[in-house]
Amino acid sequence: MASKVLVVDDSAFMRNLLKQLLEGEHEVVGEAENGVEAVELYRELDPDVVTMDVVMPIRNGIEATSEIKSLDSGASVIMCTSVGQEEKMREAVEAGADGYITKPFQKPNVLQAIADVIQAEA
Amino acid sequence: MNLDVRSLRTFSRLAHSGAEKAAGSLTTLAGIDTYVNVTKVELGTKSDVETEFAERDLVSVHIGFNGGLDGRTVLAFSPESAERLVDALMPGIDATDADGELAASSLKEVANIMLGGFIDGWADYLDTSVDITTPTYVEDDDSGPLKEIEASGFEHGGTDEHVLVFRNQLEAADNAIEFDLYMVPTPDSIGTIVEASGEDDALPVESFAAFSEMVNDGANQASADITSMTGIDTTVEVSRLSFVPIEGVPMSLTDAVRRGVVLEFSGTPSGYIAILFDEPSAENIASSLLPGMEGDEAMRQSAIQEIGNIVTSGFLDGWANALETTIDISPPKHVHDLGSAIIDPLATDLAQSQEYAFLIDSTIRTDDDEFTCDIYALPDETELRKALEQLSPAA
Repeated sequence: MASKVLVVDDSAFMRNLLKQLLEGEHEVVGEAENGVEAVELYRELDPDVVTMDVVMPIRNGIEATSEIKSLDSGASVIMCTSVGQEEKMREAVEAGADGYITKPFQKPNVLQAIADVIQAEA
Repeated sequence: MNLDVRSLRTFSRLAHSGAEKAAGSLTTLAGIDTYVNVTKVELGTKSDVETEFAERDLVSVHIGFNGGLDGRTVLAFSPESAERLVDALMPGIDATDADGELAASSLKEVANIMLGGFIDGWADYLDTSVDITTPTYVEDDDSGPLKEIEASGFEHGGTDEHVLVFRNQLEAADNAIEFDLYMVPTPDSIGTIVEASGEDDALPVESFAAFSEMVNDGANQASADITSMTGIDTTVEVSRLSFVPIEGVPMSLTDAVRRGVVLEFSGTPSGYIAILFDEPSAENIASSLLPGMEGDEAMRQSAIQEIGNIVTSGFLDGWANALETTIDISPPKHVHDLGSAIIDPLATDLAQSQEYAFLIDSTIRTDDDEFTCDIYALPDETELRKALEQLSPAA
């Protein structure tokens, strides 16, 4: 079943790539360039899943995830980042991330991560 | 064998001063104004040095030294530079002629005088005497300087064994002649120089070697990430850790135009990283990531920023994991300028707190050389020392 996805990444290229990968499988309902926009759009759009970059200007993805989780503990957030540091992954988990995919990724990785968090939510 | 930052400064100063003497000798001999472009103290593997000689098609003259200090010096030219130099010394003689004994002889004599002057500075510093061997001329050298060193009794281990290389780029004022002056001392001799510099808290060379291996692993991860994203099959050509006077950092980069990203990283260590592509490579990357979007320059820039971001993470994550710490990375800033102009503000910022810099330099390319990506990292010197302490076998 198609889910509503909010794509958060400061890179226009990466937002565009994610939209292409998700096309026909899920509905991208919004795009945010930083953590502040992500929280605002989460409130406004109530997506099923958020794909969240970590390194972003203004507010990073870990802070934004933490804030979204405090607004809605049932939110499904997949960290979607190039950072592969073990400590950073622990920080993401502590912030409430439900999944983690490392860039560069392929379409099956993204779809599987979304399927996993949706299934866990159900 | 132990090394430390103060010893490296001493090495760098001595190598630079020796190279200036060598440049002065050439000016006197050939009437060509010559200056030292940059002096680097590099920790590399034996195979790195040999690969460089094999790939650069160098004409070289080798001179051994022994006594108070043992090792090998090499003066290496491109065939074109060798030809121009011989022409300046003896107009009408062809340096590339197979029968050009006179040309070879003139290059040997130039090297003899230049390298002799270079070694004298080290002998004076150590208050010892150092003898030099007769020069050996090697055309189209594909064996590297270390084979000669081994032939003279300096046994290195496997190709992964780390060696210290003193690399000086010298250049004639009209840019027509460029050459590198290498000095590869034996491990025992490096110990002698470190001892003379009187540093008590030197780190085992294994710490530098471990860091150097981390750099290499990071470059390999970065290469794999580029291949995964773009489908362009890349490999790491070389990774180097060198110690350079801070003003020499921009001169270490080409003056050709580069496009890519600059990022700041913070943690232990903090510093700057630049991921730079030559222009055709940047275009190739943008086109492979965004097929059919040639006209959308903003999106192409974004794609280059994103691949710079991913390459940086691939490069630095291994460091963070090995050091059991976190390294934060700033959002990527797109750059498009001469390579030296891109790196200059980064070096200027570091110059506020340090006189020398560790420069990490990795090159990723395709076999056909149609794609090249250079990674330059400039960590804060004090913080890198902390990281090296952590990598020390005693830690």
